[in-house]
Amino acid sequence: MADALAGVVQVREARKARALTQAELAKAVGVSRQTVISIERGDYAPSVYLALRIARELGDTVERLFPLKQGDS
Amino acid sequence: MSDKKKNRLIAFADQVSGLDDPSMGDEREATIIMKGHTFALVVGSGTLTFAGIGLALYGFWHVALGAILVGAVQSYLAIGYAAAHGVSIHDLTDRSSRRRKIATMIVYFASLVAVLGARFYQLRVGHPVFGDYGTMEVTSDTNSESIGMIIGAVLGAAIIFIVLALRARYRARAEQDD
Repeated sequence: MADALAGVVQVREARKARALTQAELAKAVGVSRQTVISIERGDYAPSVYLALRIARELGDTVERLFPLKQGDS
Repeated sequence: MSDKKKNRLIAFADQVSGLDDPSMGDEREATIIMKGHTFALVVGSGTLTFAGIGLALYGFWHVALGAILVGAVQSYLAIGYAAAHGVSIHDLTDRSSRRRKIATMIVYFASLVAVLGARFYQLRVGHPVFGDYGTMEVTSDTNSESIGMIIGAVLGAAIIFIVLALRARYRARAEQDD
């Protein structure tokens, strides 16, 4: 379960560390707030480009924000 | 088809579909909208087919053929659009489960047989299976039309069988070359 939520926790924590609201992050990366919520919940895996935009906005790396879960090929 | 033509086709199709329109939202929303449209298309096609069969039983067989034609055009457009992007729907369909493939074929063939059967019945008996729309006198003309339908159906089935066999052989050869 911890592995499944790894990416979820990383994005949410990185956003909070930057004191950004979901709406602010959504606006900064050009998506809807609902999409940010889906990403943070782990319901939606963003495209490479969106992941890169999120990583840049949060001052982090894609690998750390969206780590592969155990069993992902 | 040249790349320039392909790109023009894709741009035209995207514009017609409104894929670049802001109303499509972001990438997640666009994906969900497209999945929703796919679902609606499948349900719509099924509804159209069953409605067509129902209408054929009441003598409106040309409406049923129109519905089948609309389905064929939709499939052709989807296959063409995917091909312009370098995606072969035919090849991908092969990956579908055997059960799904068989079910799809049964539905399509049963629909076709039902529509043509309804028309055949009307031509032989002089009235549709239900109702009295298109009631006619059975003459040598209607008899020859019904015989023509059988010949057409046999020829059509033969052509489909040959095309499928050629495709299977072509694919087997391509796999060997790989």
